[in-house]
Amino acid sequence: MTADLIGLIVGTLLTLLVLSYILGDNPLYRLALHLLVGATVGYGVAVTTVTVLQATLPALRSESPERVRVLIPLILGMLLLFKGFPRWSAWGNFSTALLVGVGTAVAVSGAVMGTIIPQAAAVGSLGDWLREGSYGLLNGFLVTLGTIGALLAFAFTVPRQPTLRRLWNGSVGVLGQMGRLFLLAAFGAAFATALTASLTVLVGRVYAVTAGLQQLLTLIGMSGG
Amino acid sequence: MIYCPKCGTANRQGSKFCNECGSPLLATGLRCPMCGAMNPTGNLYCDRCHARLIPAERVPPEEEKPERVSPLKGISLPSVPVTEGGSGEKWLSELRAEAEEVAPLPEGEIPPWLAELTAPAGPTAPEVSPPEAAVPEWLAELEAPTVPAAPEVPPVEAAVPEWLAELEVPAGPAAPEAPPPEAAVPEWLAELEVPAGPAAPEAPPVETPVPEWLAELEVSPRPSPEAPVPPLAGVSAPPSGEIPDWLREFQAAPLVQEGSSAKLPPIALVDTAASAPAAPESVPPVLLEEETPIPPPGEIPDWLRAAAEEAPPELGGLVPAEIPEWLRALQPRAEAAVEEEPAETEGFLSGLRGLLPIGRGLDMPATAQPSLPRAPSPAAVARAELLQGLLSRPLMTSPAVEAREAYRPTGWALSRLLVGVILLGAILLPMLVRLSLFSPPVVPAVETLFAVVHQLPSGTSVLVAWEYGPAEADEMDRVAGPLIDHLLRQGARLVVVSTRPEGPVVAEALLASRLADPSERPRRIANLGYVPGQAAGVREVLGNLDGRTEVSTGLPAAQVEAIAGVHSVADVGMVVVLAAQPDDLRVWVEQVSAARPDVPIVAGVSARVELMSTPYLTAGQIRGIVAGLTGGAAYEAKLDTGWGREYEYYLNSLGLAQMAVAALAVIGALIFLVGGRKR
Repeated sequence: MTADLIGLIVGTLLTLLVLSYILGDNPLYRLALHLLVGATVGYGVAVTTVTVLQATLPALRSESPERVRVLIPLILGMLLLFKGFPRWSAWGNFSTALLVGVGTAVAVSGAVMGTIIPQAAAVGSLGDWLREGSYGLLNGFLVTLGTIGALLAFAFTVPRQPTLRRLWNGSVGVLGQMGRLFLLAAFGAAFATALTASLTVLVGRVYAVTAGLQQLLTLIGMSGG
Repeated sequence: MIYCPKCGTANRQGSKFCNECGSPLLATGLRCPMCGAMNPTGNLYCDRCHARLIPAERVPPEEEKPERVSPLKGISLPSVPVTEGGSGEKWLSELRAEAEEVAPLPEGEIPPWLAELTAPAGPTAPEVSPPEAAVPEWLAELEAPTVPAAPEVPPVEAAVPEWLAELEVPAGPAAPEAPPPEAAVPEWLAELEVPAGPAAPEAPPVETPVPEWLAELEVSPRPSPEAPVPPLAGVSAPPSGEIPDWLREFQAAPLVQEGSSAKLPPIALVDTAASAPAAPESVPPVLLEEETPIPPPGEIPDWLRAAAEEAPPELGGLVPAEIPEWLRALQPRAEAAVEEEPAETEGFLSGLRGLLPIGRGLDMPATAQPSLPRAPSPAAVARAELLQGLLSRPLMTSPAVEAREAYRPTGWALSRLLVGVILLGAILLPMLVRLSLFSPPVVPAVETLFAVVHQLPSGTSVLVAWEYGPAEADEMDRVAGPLIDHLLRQGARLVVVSTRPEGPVVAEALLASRLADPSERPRRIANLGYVPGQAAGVREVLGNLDGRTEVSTGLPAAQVEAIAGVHSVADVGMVVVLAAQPDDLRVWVEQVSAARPDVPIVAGVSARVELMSTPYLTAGQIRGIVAGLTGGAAYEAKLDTGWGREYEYYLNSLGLAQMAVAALAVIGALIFLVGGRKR
């Protein structure tokens, strides 16, 4: 019995335990759930230890400037351990601030340079839409309407004055309702893609269980024969 | 905890305002007398300056060292002499030096401060034998400038307090012509009477116990009877039968004008000595709280006439009178005077006493208005009763929940089981009966991606971001497999990184199955492993690819042949992002676009990421994309690596499962519309 076969059998059993949730919450499902969560966390800790600590700590023994480059992050990381103790948690504030500040700066710069500006430029202008003909015009109209409508869908206030209120409901209210339709369509599409991904995973699991059972039956048949 | 003085609510330590009513909370603690810092109650020394916060304990009498009597009132002097260069503040040294200058006087001498008190008293009768105890300062201040008292004024039989009785010299033989009066004397007149004093000048001084508060006033120890006694102000034996001038004038014609209290008879403690000077024109005002009724001019009040007629013949001198309440209030308390504050023994206050208040003081803001806790409001009481009622209730569930729970085992679980069976049947049916309902579609994005990969020169380094784990591997392996196959076919060198801990091992599993010749692995694949730090980690690894360690071999990346010449993202010919979550794709696209916009990006993503990746595709930030099982099947169909049969099974199972789900959704909606809405 090879390790692959053991892994296949264990995976098959765990898959069946997870699929037992179809009958409702039960101890078998919970057992599989706890095993998966525990294994994931444990594996993450192990990988972090090996790839981060074991890869960087040997540099402390060297006399090169690499030592200082490792020492400072190591100290900052150790200060983060104080976050586990409420009385001393303030010692980890600097490390946390550094993490949050650097992470935010990188994320914001990436979002601006990698998403906002390119996406805004990709929407195109009226000239681009006219140049593309009816398709371009329809696309531009839908993009404009969907964007404005989705923004106005979150306008929950109305003017007090009756005249302004009627005017508001006739313009912003209508656009907001159309924006809600765009949101419904977007959420529906997102749900459909998520469902498709889940069904794909289910298909893969069913095929894996089938293959595992075939292997098990083969093993039993071999041992029996 | 700090309890609100207004509503009684318990607040956290350090709170300045009440949580419940918003009232300011009193800051309790000990304020340092030296630096003013607040210290928590219980501190013996100041946290800031280490000054002592509470006075030293009083030393038992048997251990008490003999101390010099200090003439200074209100502050005692150190019993330990100040040493040169000792610790302590400069002002403390000056204070000690000042105290040293005031040396105790020899016995029998009057200190200057006492002489100042006795100076305005005027001459006293030499034959007057002063009482043992000196008149206290507070009493001496009340004395009129030696206005003689009328001996005919009958002394009133009244209760004399102890402290005053101690001042009295035992009266000599009572004069027969001065009997004690039987009638009651009004208070204001009693206040005018001399409360103490020797009745007979010939009476020798008698040893009477002197209260300690009086003894404090004395500079020297108690003088012996033979020792010369300093004359005391205003206390002399009144000669019996002699009427003072002011009273005689008072009897003849009322001196007091109507409406004026300035010429009222002076207050008690008058000098009845014959040699005493006459009363001045303006006598000090009487310290009366209530205005004394003034008789009309030319009329002797009844009380005075009665007092004159009923004068006791047996008492000619002054007798103790009843001390009014206001005078009692002025009486120094013996215990307060007796309280000898112990000297400090530690710190730079050592040797000094009287600097710290006895007992612990509580400091509170000047504006605070402490008040007793009020009764809780009716609303608070109602809330408390409601909470108590809720807590006292037994745990119970609503009938609707119970009904649902009772309904579940039969209908709810059965419906779930039915849905499961339908889905499993839809998935297994193509494999069992070999249905071929669906074929790989033609996807333009996949076509574009295929063309981009197909144009890669051999030996091009490709950075692969492996952003999925085992949970998504059943889908993503079908997406990534054809793409990795195509890259390996094109002779690309793959540099694999992942921001998920489980990503590298999933990559190893797929790469091992796709690489035909394992011996080529060091030249073709470099798995750089896990990159922590999310976006920051991605940004870091994009600029430092060869500074990492290869996972499978454990060698530094610079020594791995597959990554030779690749130092950063600028050295790679393409970036492939294999992402199962939208955020992973977004982070990589953003960071690569920000770092090197000229590096082409292609993506193999899960079906759930397809919708989010489309804008990047239309914007040209992603050159090509393969999304989901459908995209993987389309790529496999173009590449034809031999996995097409498996993809066919998967694609048909997925299609049937999607149809089953759609059918179940429609059936469920119909059931809800027809009969389930009521429930």
